[in-house]
Amino acid sequence: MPTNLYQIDSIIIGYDIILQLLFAFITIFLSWYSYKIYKITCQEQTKFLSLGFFLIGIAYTILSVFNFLIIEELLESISRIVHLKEIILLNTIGLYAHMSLMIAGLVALTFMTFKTKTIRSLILLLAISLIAIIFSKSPLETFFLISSILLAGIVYFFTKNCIKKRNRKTKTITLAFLFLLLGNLVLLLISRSGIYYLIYNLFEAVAYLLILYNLYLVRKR
Amino acid sequence: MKKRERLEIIHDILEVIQNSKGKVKPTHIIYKANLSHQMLTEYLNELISKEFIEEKEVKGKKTYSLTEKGYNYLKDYSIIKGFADSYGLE
Repeated sequence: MPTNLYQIDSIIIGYDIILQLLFAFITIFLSWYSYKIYKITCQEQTKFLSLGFFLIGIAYTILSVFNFLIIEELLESISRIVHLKEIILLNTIGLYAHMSLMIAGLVALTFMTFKTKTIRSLILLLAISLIAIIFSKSPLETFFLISSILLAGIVYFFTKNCIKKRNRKTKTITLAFLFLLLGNLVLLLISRSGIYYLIYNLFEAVAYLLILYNLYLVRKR
Repeated sequence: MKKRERLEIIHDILEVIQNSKGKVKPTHIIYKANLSHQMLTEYLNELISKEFIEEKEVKGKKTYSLTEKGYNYLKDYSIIKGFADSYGLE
């Protein structure tokens, strides 16, 4: 039986909750840091970078909390026999909240790469993505598909930036987002069970460590 | 010659103002920051609206001085530049 929001029968249930909390902490910290830079520079792009990381951070927090609640409910239901309705309800609420916030975060990051002040494209992109997920027959697959497309766009932008300014900082960020994209593609194209979920989590962990390493490089004078 | 980016130009303008003991005329900024008159006008308007600098008129002539926000920008410039470079911010 699937035991988490991604409906995965995982071999690392429990550990993934800790990882997701860690990702939430890193992304919210990055959001705060970007906001600090925004306050100094008043650059619109930085504001959307901060917003994107903040929404992704909240999405990870929800994923982690609801996965924890589901495991708790499952453990209880073993002793009380039937508890299925509550588990399904928890799963549905958590899943849609997580997917919406994650997509909103990725849309904000994509919007940042457009370098435009026209807010209409942000709203349009967000509306199309959310409607596609909500009305899809398989929302989870649609979610992974849309996030992969958004991540591919972000990776393309960072790759171009990396070619323009060849240094370690741009390389780490490009690699980080490439790992996030690869993780998504593993779940979308290969499988969402067992060892592949582990690989997905490992890719995400590498990505966020690279983002933290970048922050270290930025602060090192 | 490599084209300067927006953040770099802002840094150069603020640095000229700082090095001139806080008060400077537009012609001096044009010369020291290597800008055209039109570019300088655009940047100065932006910097005033974002409260990085203050404009004052003394005996009919405009002078510019840094605000606290302007000083903070210069102080943290290397971090700002590194962060902006990493994420392709302009």
